[in-house]
Amino acid sequence: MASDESSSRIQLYSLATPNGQKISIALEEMEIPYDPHTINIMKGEQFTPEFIAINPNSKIPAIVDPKGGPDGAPLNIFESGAILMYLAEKSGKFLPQDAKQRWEALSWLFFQIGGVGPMFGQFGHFFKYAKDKCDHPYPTQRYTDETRRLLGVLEKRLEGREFLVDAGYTIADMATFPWVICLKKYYNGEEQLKLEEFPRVQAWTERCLARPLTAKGMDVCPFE
Amino acid sequence: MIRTSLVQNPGTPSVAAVAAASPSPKSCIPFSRNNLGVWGRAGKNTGGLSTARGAGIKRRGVVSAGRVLSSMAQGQQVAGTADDRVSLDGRDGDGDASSRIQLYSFATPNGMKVSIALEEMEIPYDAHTVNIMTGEQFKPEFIAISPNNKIPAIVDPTGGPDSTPLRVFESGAILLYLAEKSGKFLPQDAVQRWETVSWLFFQVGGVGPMFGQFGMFYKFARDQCDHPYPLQRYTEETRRLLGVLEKRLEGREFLIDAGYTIADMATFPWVNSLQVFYKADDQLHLSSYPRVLEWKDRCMARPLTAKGVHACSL
Repeated sequence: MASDESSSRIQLYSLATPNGQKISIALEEMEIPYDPHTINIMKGEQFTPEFIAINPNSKIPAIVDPKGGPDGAPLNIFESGAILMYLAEKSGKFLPQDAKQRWEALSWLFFQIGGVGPMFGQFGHFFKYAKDKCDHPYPTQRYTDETRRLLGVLEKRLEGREFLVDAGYTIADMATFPWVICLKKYYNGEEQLKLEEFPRVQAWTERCLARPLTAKGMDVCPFE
Repeated sequence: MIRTSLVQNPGTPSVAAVAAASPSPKSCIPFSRNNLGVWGRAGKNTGGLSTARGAGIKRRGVVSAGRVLSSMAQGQQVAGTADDRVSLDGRDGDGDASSRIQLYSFATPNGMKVSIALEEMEIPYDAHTVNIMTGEQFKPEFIAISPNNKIPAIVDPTGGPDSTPLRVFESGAILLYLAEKSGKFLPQDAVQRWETVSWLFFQVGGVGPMFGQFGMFYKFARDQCDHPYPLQRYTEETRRLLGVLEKRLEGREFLIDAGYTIADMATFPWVNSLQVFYKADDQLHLSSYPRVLEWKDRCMARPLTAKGVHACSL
């Protein structure tokens, strides 16, 4: 590979959690050259000074675009939603130009960031990871109810739609479906959440995963 | 003579109460399908009903949600006539009612972000209070604007292609929309811009949700859950996030070097909420985040920001 090309490749710092997967999916779908670096958050690698300099919140994913800044200076971006927007603008793909479609895509992207991610994550925490630390039924019930409510919003949105936005597959889908997969695959929440009651959401998840570049992106920066 | 058609919804304050509230409060139209209520704000001279242009206040027919929505459904422009228009914010001349942003909101931290932005960006708007304490967010006409039934949400009556109505929901998306529309509070420089957007997403993905869970277990759900674990979890995460902000604000007036941005507007209302709504100073040892508290006060001291903080309150 020519050195010029490699020195301008996006540097991805990530792990194959739903939030990490969003970005590798986007990089693959947008066909943006990148180098992946696995940050093992189970071993605390997100707390090194080098990583904090890229992401002060010590979370994955984060990217550095080596020549993205003014005069070809490096540009760091943290937060999966910001990274998705950046990559969409850089590539011109998966964020519609039409004003109405664009703001629908961004509204649904923020819906994922502010609602789906945090609430599905709290569900996973209390239902799976913190069972021994907290046996009170309230938190699990609270996050079960909210996760189901959010799935219901998605179910309704997907009525008569292949993807979240009429224009087609967008960064809103890339941000959201990995979290739906996580509910079943990592949290084993299928029964608890009665996922069979959300058939359109299931079909849409499969539709996204059937895209070859998306499927490839799901496996980048794997857990050990 | 001023004629008014004033229909009050139960639980809403009287006009006198609104007038007596904070200086220059943004008056709000109670949200209903056929808005008949007319609210005047405490004008400079009247202390009562607005008499902008000296015209009598007429029944507001233009911007009821039902009409906006049916227009959206038919792809039509939301039109209004001068006669139907009521000025509520003193910016009478700035755009006619048919192009003013319609804000559907409530004075929570998330709602405040957007009214702060509208005020700071000096974008003409009409505010409709959606009372989430009484379930108004579940009305079908509101869900049509905001499918997650949350405030805030906006409709820009001419924001879409061919000047058709465009809705935006989610406070973060709305802040970006308004910043692009006005050209303000989102820097042009690539580094500054993407820093702003990163910190905005940090707020919507981290600060808001986690401070909100803290508030639930510390204040609202105490009776329903007395187990120490959830409160400890969200206390620690809230403190961790405050620590990230504290470090960021070292040597900075605002989150971004370029100055006050939508990232600040999104974040400080939640810090304010920890004190004012949750009264959690001691639980969170808020005094150990002096830069955060100073920055919060610095944001609140801006007159247009302060005005936005009080919009759509009960």
